[in-house]
Amino acid sequence: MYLYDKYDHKLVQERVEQFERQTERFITGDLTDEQFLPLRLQNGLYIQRHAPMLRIAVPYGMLRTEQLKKMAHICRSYDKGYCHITTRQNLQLNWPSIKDVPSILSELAHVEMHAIQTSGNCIRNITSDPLAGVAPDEIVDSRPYCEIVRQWSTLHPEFAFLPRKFKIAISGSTTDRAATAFHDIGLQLIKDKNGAVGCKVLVGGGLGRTPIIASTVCDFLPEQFLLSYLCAILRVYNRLGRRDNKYKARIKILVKEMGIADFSQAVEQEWQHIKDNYSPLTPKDITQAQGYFSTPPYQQINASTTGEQLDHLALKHPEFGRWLQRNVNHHKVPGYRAVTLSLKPTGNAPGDISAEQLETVAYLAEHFSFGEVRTTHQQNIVLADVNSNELFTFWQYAQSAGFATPNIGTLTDIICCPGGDFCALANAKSIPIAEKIQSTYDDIDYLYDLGDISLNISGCMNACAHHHVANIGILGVDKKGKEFYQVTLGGNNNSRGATNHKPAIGKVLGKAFPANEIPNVIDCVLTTYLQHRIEEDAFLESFLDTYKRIGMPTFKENVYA
Amino acid sequence: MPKIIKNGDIVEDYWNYIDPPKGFVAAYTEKTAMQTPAQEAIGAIVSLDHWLSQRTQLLASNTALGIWLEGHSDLSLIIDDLPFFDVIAVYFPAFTDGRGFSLGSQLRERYQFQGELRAIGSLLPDQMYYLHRCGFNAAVTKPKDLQFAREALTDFSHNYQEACGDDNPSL
Repeated sequence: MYLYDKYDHKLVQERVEQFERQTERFITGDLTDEQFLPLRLQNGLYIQRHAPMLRIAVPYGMLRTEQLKKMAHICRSYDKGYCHITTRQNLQLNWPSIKDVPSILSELAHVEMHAIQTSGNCIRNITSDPLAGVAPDEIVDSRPYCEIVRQWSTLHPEFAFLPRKFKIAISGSTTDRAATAFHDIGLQLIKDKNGAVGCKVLVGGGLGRTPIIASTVCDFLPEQFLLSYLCAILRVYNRLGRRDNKYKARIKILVKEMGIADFSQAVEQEWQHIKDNYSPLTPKDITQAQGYFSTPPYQQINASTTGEQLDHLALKHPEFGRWLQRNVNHHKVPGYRAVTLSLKPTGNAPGDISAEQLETVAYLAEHFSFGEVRTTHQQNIVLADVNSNELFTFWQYAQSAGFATPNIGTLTDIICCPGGDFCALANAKSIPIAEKIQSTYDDIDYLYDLGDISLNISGCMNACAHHHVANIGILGVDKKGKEFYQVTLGGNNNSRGATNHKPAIGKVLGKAFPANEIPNVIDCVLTTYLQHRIEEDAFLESFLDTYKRIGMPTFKENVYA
Repeated sequence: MPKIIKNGDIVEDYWNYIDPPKGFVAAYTEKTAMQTPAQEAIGAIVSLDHWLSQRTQLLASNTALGIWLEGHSDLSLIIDDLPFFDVIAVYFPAFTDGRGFSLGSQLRERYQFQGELRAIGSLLPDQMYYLHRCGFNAAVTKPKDLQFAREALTDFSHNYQEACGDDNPSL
């Protein structure tokens, strides 16, 4: 994992000092509310419904044990004993007091963490595949490139006052687990026929009010030009992006209004002029970045023997078997597995994690996974390097800590924003809806029969929970001061079990429902699926495939009957 | 006479503005100090419209010339004229409007502008460090902010990324 050098430490320290001076000027009235706002946002500090909210950066989701322990300490000392994992792999404190923020930032700096650029109209935290470096289908390990882009985008002088926020995701596997098609820029690392590394560059994807799937701006960008090309895209956006209307200010709107051909041409022109002004990334730079993510000391494991043992244990302990099936991923090193800790047991606000749990995760990482973990877009935690011989012991620990709900990729693995309970932007609450659905579908056998299905709940149009790309999306809307929920079907963001992985945006089922009708509506949708799905021997058609085959009208008839 | 930050120092400004941005004079400088007495001025910073309509006369006038641009100004209109300008001022209508950072970078990097690049308008002292790194070597702030703006040039001692202003003299 990347460790700070003296420059990182210095820079974070100088940033903390700069923010202290800014806060002081705000308090003495030297900076107005309006002036202080973008400065505090770019340091992660929001003012929310009940309290400030501090969003802490977790670069591409990677954390190590000392950072988890520090977070546990911060949750206890400065908040209500828990924090929240966001859909962009960051951590949020929902109840800090403003006066404590400088102390929190200073404590974070001790473990190489900060809140820089976690909010505001700048380049945000880089997100990536939680299985980077271990996925069997990996083409290129994305982590070194994430780190290169993280450094490049941190305190970039030209792009700190963009028309709107700007999100970059990087993936390097055949299966895109980083949602690159739904980011302002998505980079898909690939190799050309000679084995040279480069990336397919997507631009203008996003959700929110205007969900758009990204367009390709470059089919193969050789890796050495990555930074000058990013600079060209951002520069075109910074100069031409709309600033008259905040809802039309994202790059997706610029790409849509210009058309991808004209936009690409503008980028190409800018890039041709500047690409030789910037040092290309040399093989040495890349090797150095790769060195931060060196292979841990894996043991030699006889994979076939351990495989048999696991099968045996799974038969003997069905719960363990389910957990293996749902929460454990294959690994590119024989005998190792990547395990997902579920933060979605019934009754838990999706993504919330307590101080005690953070410490347990730290313990598990230390003893079973070389001291590192990754937060995920789905608001869970992955321990990427677990020895299969230790899986059963690991499972027992995870179970007693409440992390072993075998529901990854099922209906109750809900992605959910903080919603109206916390967020000042929300139109409706989202957590109670998630809880209602989780408690209704608590029967593991039923969940397993439903199979792979994604359900996301956003409390407003800003779509923090990415409801558009869930197989079943729920969106909170405000109707004359009352909370209603709109349901969408058929969204797809690399859905497990689907035969077609093409990203898709869900379609609206029909008129919105009040909260108390949602369980019934979901039940109708699921029953419709079960009635129509193809079942042949062991094959069960997935929800998404069934939806695509039978179409929206059948669902609509049943729900609005 | 108004004062500006230039090459790291607070100095008197010998440039006058012709047809300056609306709101600039009243809001961001002290009105009385805005204009340099004509006999002491070394040149005039004119608007793009003024330049386009008075180009011949201005070139014949034998005074030093500058031009001010906005974030959305079409650079293609003046690319061939850049050698005539000793100063290009970039106007920031709001400190949150970051177009000027890219415009400045483009002028330096893509069009190799070598003269004085000056940031004017609604700027926070906190932005000086970034402005300098985007190629600006002069900035106008509210008089009360000048000293603080100059100090803010040293907010950071190290940068992660290359930027076009790194080889310039300090802002």
